[in-house]
Amino acid sequence: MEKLGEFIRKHSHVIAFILLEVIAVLLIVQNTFYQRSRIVRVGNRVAGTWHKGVSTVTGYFGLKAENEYLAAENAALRAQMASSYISYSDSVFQVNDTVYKQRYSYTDAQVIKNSYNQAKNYMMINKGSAQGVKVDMAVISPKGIVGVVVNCTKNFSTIMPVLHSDSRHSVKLKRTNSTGSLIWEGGDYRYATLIDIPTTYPLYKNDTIVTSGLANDFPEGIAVGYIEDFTSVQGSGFYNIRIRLATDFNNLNHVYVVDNHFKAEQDSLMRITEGGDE
Amino acid sequence: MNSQLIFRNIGRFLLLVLLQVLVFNNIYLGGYINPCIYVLFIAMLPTTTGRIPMMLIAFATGLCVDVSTNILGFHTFACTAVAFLRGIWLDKIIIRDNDDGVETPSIFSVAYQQFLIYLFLLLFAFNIIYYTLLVFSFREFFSVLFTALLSTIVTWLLAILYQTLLLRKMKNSSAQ
Repeated sequence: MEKLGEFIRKHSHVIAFILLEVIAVLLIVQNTFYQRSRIVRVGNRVAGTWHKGVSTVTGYFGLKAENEYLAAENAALRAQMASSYISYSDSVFQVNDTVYKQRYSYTDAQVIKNSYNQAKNYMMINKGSAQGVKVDMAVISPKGIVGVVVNCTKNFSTIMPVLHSDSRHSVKLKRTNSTGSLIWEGGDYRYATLIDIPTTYPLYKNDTIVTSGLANDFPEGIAVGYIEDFTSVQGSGFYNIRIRLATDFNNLNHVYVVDNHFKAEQDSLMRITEGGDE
Repeated sequence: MNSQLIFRNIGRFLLLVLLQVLVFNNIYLGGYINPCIYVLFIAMLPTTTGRIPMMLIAFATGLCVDVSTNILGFHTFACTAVAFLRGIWLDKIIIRDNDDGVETPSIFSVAYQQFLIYLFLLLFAFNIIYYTLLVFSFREFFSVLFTALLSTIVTWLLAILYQTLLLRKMKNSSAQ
């Protein structure tokens, strides 16, 4: 017993070391994303204010390119306005009023913090629950898909971008409509991986990948990327496709948060359907 | 004297952690080298600090940096490990030849070769632990080793720059 006491006294620093490292490991292991973002929520509020200040300054550097994108987007949107079409009959507008109901609406937001070279990247935008942003909403940029909202405070939200080892999105080949899953295996932020496309379809380099609209969050047809390279996985019957992402995550300033007005309805229907199976 | 030492260390803590959080965490040289300059704070804690207090300080320091990066635990783990290793290496590398009381390990207070080796080993230990945890796959062992080595060299040079810029003035003023 005395020897044990002596041993503990002599090696107390080793014991303290092991104890502290165990706590650190627990911190790492327990931090699945949702818990983590809850813990750092307070930190986010402080950091958010800081990064907002920084990005008001650094935002000027990319202003020219950003303006060009916005102008290009404005032009594209203007082309879709009713005034851009020649109206052959009045019925167009009636059809619009009664048959179409708005499904998606868009809130513009600014990226105030962005990481793209870790295994699990996150970004922060300057809109939160007060501006109508909710968890699980889709986020897109003028160029293409960005990610999903995972946490909101009053004025800020964190986003899990495509560049996250846990992210998985349903996408499809624009040409053949065959659907697959978009994942990211780390490494270069310009490239992601597309899996689950059966080898029955021939592929071509630079084929366009767009969102499938099968998951509730993203509207159909948002650009995801272009095929850079593909191999068929031996014996599985599926391709392993390397795609060049449409969104430049290194240079991301303005994004849009997509609000799906039917999400609650779709989710509850799905719950009833799955509940009925059991 | 003693309170001056404490204030100087608190000042160094604030300076290095703020520098890390606000500047170096946003810098990725060549896309993936992220200098962790704040480890210098652990390396420069007074030699009279006990081993356990030192690890507690390192734990808290790592946690401070972690909170700002949204990923809890990684800096904390590596930083605590560095404090533990410092307890061992400080005796072996620096104290051995300087038994007449070195207060703060730095280029100017001990033979600079010794300090540079000591600092390099601590930084390399930090980086290898940090990147191993971050990547967490043995398949990428060599890329981790490479990244850690590059990151160590960059941080090491920055740390030397920091000491030559900030400490020389202090040394001159205290000598006079």
